[in-house]
Amino acid sequence: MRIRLVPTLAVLYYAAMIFFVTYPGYVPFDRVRPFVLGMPFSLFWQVCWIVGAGLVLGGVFLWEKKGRREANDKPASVEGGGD
Amino acid sequence: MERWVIVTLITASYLGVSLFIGWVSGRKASDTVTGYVAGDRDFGLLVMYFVMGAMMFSAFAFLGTPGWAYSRGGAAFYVFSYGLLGFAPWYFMGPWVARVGRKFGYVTQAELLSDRFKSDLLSWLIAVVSIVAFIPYIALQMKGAGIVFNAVTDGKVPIWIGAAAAYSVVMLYVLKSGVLGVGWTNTFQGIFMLIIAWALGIWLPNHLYGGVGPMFERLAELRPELLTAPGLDSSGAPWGWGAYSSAIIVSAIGVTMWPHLFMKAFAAKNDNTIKLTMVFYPTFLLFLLPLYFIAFAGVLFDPKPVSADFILPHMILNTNVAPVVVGLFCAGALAASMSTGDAMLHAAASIYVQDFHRKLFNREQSDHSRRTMIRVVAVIVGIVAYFIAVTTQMSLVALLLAAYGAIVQLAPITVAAFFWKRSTAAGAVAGLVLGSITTLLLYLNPELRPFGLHEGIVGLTVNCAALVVFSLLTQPANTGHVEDFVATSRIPDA
Repeated sequence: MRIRLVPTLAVLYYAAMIFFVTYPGYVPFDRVRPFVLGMPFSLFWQVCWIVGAGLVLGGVFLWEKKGRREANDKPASVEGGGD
Repeated sequence: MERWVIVTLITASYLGVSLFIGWVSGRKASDTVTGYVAGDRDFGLLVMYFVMGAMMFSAFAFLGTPGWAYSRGGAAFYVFSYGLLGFAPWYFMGPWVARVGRKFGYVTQAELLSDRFKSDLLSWLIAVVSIVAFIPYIALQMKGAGIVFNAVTDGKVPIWIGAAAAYSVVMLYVLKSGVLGVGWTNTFQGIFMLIIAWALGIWLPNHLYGGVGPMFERLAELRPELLTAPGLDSSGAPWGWGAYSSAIIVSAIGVTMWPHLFMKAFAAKNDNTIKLTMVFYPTFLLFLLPLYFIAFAGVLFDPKPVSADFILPHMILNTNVAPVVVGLFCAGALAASMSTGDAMLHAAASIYVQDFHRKLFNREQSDHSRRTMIRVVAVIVGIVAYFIAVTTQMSLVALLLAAYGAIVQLAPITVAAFFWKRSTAAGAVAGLVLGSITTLLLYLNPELRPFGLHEGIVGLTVNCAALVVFSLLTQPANTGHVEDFVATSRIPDA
């Protein structure tokens, strides 16, 4: 099951995001203070999820690339990356 | 020199560069429908990134989103959320779509779905819904371009001339170069938009309040209600969490299902192009941040704009920035409008010919004849949209929302196409039709909505139920093709 683990984590990230940027998950973080980088916390929270999404997908991409390389080294094994 | 002359000159130079890039970029494409509509499936990462980003950010993003932030505060944060969630599925779905496109030769979303379900009816329905959604959208983009041009030249350039100037350029490069013209001009326009937005978004709060932090400090004292979601509604009363949350979900599903997004996926060179575009897409989305800054800078600023949607040009014109910067801003706003309008114009014409005309009237139409026809239809669509943009005073938004509501309803069928082999043409058509009708009915009669839910969510529920029931009542046609379709979508690039 190692093969599907990382993409599953990415899907979980988006599921968590849906919860944390809508009602009720957003409520505890939807506040003016503390200010971060000059922004109200509510806005900074949104920026965090967007930056996080790029990092998570970047991680999935690198992991898939590694899986493909390993699969190519061992031609007998099943495909290691793909989606 | 007077300001409006400088502004016009800079904007004209920008249009000239756009035209040049759009014109020369088409030379490499093959003389086929695949070349004109899908760029011979050879888009690399750079072009793909800017096509996706610039297409998402229209004149609405440049004017409407800051307008929301200015008048409704945190309500505007929902654009951030749906902008990200709408694109997220494409990391996985994009490669599937591109793979079946390569194998079976699809260049549009309707071709993919109607071939998977073997239903011409589905093709016509999707084509009609897409075109009905696109034309008012293009008209709004044209109007946006004209309005900005008009505002920054102190009314010296009428709206109809501004819109005509910008969209003549679009028309020329779409006709000449097809999707390659769209792709390369979007790259230029996208870079332009990003630089202008960030530069002004950082500079304006600094100039007026001494920085982004001090600006928000003052807002936190004077207008704290604007700094948290769900913000305010259009009348200025607090907005509800239910409406805020369901708007995010429905808008995200709508973005995922946009027909022109599918068309750009077919244009991708390989799996990695699409995946990396989605990895880097959040960097494009963050461009909303400086636009929010400019809008919030306007809240404590006098004089007030005539309408909230004018907050951006209003701030630029009333803060003593150099005329050159006003000109660059105008060009940036036109870039936002044109980079969305061109993709939609190109998509509307391609969809009409590939999915409607060919399937209904002329199944044997040659590749050459179709390519010519797409160009003719693009001109017609452009003229119709322009006519709507400059003549009608009625709100196009109602028409737009109705058609957009139907596009959201393509989501269950698309998921079923890739995941549920037992789904049938009857199920797909029933789901789409019943889901769309439910949405429209509840949109027109808001009092009927259960628990005040967004009409699109109720429509999707009806849609899924109809899809399952009608699929199970009928037998799938050509199961061999379905097996082949699903298997193809799962095989990664070598």
